[in-house]
Amino acid sequence: MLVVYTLVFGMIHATPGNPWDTGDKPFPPQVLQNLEAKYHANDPLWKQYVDYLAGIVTRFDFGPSFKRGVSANEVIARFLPVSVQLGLLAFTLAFVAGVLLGSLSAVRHNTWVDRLAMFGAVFGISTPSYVFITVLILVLAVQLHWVPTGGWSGLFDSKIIIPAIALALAPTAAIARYTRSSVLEVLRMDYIRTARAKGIREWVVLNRHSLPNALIPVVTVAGVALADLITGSFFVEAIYQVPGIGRYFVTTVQDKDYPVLMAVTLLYAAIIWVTNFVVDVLYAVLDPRVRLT
Amino acid sequence: MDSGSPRPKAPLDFALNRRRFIGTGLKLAAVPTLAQALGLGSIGRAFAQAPANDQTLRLAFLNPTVAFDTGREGGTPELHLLMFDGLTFYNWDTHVTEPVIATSWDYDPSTLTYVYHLRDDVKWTTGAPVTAADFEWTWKRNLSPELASPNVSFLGYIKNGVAYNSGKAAAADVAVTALDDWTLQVTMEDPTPFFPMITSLWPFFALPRAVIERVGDDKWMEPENIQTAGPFIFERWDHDQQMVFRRNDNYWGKRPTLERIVYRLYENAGKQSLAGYEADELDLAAVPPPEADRVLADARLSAEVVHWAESRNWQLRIDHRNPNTVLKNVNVRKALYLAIDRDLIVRQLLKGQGVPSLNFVPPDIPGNNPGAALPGGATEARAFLDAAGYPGGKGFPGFKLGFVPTQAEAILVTQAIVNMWKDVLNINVDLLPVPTDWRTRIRTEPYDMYYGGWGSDYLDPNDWHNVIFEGDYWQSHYSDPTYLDMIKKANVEPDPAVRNQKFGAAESYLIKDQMATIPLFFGGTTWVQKPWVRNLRIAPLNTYVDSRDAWIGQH
Repeated sequence: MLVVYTLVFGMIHATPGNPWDTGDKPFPPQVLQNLEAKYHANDPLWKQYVDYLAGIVTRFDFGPSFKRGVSANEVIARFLPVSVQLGLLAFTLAFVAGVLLGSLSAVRHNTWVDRLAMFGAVFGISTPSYVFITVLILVLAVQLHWVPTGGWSGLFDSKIIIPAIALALAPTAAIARYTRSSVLEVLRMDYIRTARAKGIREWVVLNRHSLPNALIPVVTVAGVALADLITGSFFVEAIYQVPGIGRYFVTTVQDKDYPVLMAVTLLYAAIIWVTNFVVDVLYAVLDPRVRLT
Repeated sequence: MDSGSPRPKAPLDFALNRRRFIGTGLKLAAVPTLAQALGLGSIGRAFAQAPANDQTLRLAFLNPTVAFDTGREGGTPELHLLMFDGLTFYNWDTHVTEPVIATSWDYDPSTLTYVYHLRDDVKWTTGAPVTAADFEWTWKRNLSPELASPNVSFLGYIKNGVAYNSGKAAAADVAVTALDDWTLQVTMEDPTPFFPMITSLWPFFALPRAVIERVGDDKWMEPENIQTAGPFIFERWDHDQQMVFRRNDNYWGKRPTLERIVYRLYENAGKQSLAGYEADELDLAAVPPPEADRVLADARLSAEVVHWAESRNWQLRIDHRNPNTVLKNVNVRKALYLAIDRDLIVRQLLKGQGVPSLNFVPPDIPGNNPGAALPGGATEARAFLDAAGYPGGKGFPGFKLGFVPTQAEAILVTQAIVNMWKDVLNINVDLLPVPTDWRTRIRTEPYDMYYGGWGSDYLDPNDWHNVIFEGDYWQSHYSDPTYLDMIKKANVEPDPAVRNQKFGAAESYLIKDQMATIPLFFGGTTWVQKPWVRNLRIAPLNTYVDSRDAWIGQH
């Protein structure tokens, strides 16, 4: 975490320009001075580095946003829950649909089902979310009027449909492909042949004997996807007006809103760290050979 | 100026030009929407059609970045005007500064002092009266160095305003005083004949002192805290999502017909809101130029198109202090000016959202002078380049044209201009993409030229000549003594007609003689508006939607 902090701090202060004087019209010099004094931008670098770090460590305080008139903590408190809800829904969709499609492809290997599902997967991986969501909005909202063109009213509202599908597309495709190749590999194992030789029904072979083993590599991919999804997506949130934290990864860089940028970067690092840890624990659950020591 | 600012006696050419300006801007509008666009409303139908039961107006808005504090935000007064009133209101149709909270004002030229007389029936939502002391407190608060407001330039006209903001004077030195509850006295730093006009702007609105002192500068505008005094009450704010305003039934002035205004917040409302409009979720949306062809070809949408003029000019700005640029040569600048096909840019690239400009000051500003244009075309452009010593473009050293790629249509427009110069003058000019904070660097670094737009802050030629060149807001470093002398004298001229003439002469010297900047086009915007929305206007200044008098017809 300290490494991430130092890197972000270094990059922020290596970029030229100031965060405020970016509007249509330039500021008078005394206005810039007032702003710099208010946000301690004139302190020596080492002092800024230490003061800011001390604020985070001792008070968990990421400082005031330069642009939003609130603290960076508040930006996260307001908008992270939205991204987490949307991300968890999209992840559930992606995991269920991905594993289902992948297993189906593997079982019906080299049939039209397999080819159709894998065509869908390639489509899903190669279509950027901003293209897919724009098409969804045009078709489902503007043409068919089934759902609104944007906004957010919580988990149980039709407004969540388009962003959840758009977010789920790429991870669904990735999980489907990993599941397929992994299941195919497992199905060729000797113990599966033994199981079949014993006369066990095919769906039991698939569910009880192959899937749990096949899921180990899939869990790794899913863990990365989960970290990615719950931290939000800039494109999906900005295009569909979802008030999530994902937009802040990009807008804070454009705005040079350093406190919020620092807060979201450290948050992202922490989430990746936690999901990797959870994935490691899951290995042990799925594979008895892996033991936690 | 004594009480009330008299309507400036516009010269004939100004009046003609203004009509042409609006006419061109409206060429594409269908007839019923044309009447709306002119601010007339559809009078015939207004009598025939009663207001609908549901008086909710649905608009799009750019997600506010600085929590929208009238003292701190430089952007748009659209939301502020729903919640607060100014001492005055500047009527951009009649060019008259109208009384609002101030019923009248007096001016003493010997002491540069204005005395505003306030209404006694304006109330905060708590029921407490809005007094002169509220204005005094707010103006000093907005100027305080601790608030670090980016938006203090207007308040800087008050004596010791800038000094206080720079930490060189105390709050008590700022020359604004409440003489009693209904009398506000304010002294100017320098003669500022347009001061009553700019007290119509949002940094001058009185703010609720009690709340700000209780919850602080960052939280007072949350709906659960805010106290307002305008025609609408701030009812709800789902951050980054929507803002809802409800009619203030205890408003002292004309009660609005609308019951609710719901703002949906977008990262880029200008580009994103059209989809919401087409899905019937919004009543008004901007039409971005890339969508204009599709909208105008659509039978239903094209009938709902409205155009509004903007008090804005886009131009090429030049570094007059750079000794090493070929642009030092006035004949080169004139050749570049004449070689640009502005009609083509406006028609093809901006899709009619603008008007070609050959002079500097927009047609809605008093004292603008269309006669400042340098006559001629491609032939004259080549003659000027010959005279500059580069016949047929031979030996032309070239220069760099800077532009901010994120600025609307900047890439297209600058590329087109460079190609026009190549075609007409046979010269090569390089494009230089620059970041938005580039201008901080060019305060000291030399450059050649960059593309930019300037919107009026208030409708006075001072905001164009004096602010831009005397205040060097463009970093043009233009220090021609003749010109600076002309605009300084014009600015303090007490007779409005003479003042406008003097500014007009200065504009002619600036463009026709000196070509100190190369004007390109005046701004304009295209929108689609649902047919049931009545009396909605879009102000030329800051391009904000004024929905205070709007209402929803039956549909």
